[in-house]
Amino acid sequence: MNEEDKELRGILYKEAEYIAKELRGDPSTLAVILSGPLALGRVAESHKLYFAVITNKDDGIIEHHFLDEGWGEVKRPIEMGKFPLKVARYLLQNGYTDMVSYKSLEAFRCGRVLWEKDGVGREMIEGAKRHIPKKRFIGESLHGAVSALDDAFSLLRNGDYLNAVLVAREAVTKAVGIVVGERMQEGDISFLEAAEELLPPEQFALYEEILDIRGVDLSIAKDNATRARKFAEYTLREIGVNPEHIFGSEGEEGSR
Amino acid sequence: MIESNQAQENLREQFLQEAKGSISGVEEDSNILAAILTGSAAWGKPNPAGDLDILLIAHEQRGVVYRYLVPKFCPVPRRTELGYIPYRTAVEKIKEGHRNQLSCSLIEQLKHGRVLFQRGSQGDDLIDSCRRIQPSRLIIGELLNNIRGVLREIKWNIDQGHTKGATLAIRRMVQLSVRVLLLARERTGIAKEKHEYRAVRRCLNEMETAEYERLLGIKGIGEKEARRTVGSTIDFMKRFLQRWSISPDLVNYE
Repeated sequence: MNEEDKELRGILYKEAEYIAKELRGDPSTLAVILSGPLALGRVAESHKLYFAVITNKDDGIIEHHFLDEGWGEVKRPIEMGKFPLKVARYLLQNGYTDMVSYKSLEAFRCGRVLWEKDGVGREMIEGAKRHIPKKRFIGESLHGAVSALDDAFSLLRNGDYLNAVLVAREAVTKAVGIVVGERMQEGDISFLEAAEELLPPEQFALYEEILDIRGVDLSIAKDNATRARKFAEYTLREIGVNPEHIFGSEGEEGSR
Repeated sequence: MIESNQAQENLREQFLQEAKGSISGVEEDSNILAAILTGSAAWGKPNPAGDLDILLIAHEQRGVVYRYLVPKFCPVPRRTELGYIPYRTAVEKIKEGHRNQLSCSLIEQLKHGRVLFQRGSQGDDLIDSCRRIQPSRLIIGELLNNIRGVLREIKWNIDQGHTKGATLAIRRMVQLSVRVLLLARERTGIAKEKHEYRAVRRCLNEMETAEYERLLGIKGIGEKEARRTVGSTIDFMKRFLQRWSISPDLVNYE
């Protein structure tokens, strides 16, 4: 970690302490747990601050707060899950069954206790280890992939076959995106190349099969490229945009 | 057909009553300006096993809050999600137009929403402003820039002989083109992937739809192939989850 990151980490921890202090002001709060990348020691200016808060409320409701404008002195976006103790203990006992319960347990698992009464915070972190063996923070991205797959299955069941295939491809691409995201930031590599590098061979083959991109030869690809351009030109003209202003005249396009 | 419509009407009525039940007492909370039922329960064809999605418009509130009613602990007969959004934030998001998935989602939800309760006319006002929304030049401009970028990507892939990369980029360009058209013609953004193809079928004629399907590689797909693709995707996801030490039961559809 370079000096700049160390400094940023110091600032973020101070901000987290500030939020914890604010939350402690509510008598229903039993524990404040820092979660997300910062709790795992990772910092970036663009990261949100994530918290899991355990309360003594009796309503059985999980609250998910999105504070995009921050809170008080902290101007950074914040996400915060608030869990009544009995619901949190139920999750620890029964594990996850859907993405809401998975993300809740993941937040505990990655957590670092900032404040607690009677060891409630540590109880959450220790209990979550049973269900989530490794410390990782992927629930948010995973939710998108699982939710798209839910949609694909539901479309299939309703006989909307073409749409089911399109949405299934989106689901699998979102899942692969979780694996290749960091690799793609490292250098000049395409999504497919990164997927081939990082997925086990049989899984990459399955990915290609789902996308149905095997067996396309160059002449078909060229023909499709021409047709796709014509399709795009048609839609542009339909909305009153001259395609030449977007694409230039034939042969003018740049490189990658 | 009449019977089927009647069944849907009955189901919508049932959802409506359950929704009213789940927000009972909300009118006593002076901070809540309106409650709006959204999703297929408010319009269209509700799924009998579907969730209840309700947006509550708050006067003063810190940020946006979603409350998940956990059935084990709440006397609610179905999964319910209550979204609390400050009125000011809702107005700002609607002004953003179809700028991102979040604003698209809010607009598309509210456009088809059904007011359950309102203190003044805030619920109707928000719904009306979503129905009137015009596509923003700025957003269309961003989409056009993306189309330009993807065309370069297609060319590069073809020059390099990367047919798979080219195929994916071609599909992306077709989808972006359709999104521009949808915004301009129907003033509709795509909040979720599953809405795009439905909008395509409304918006394009038969020949255009056939070309869209051909370029996306879905033309002529029937039940058998769709089952195989979705089945393979479930299989992929199960292996994927196992690799990350996550239970594959998260995608168990049996």
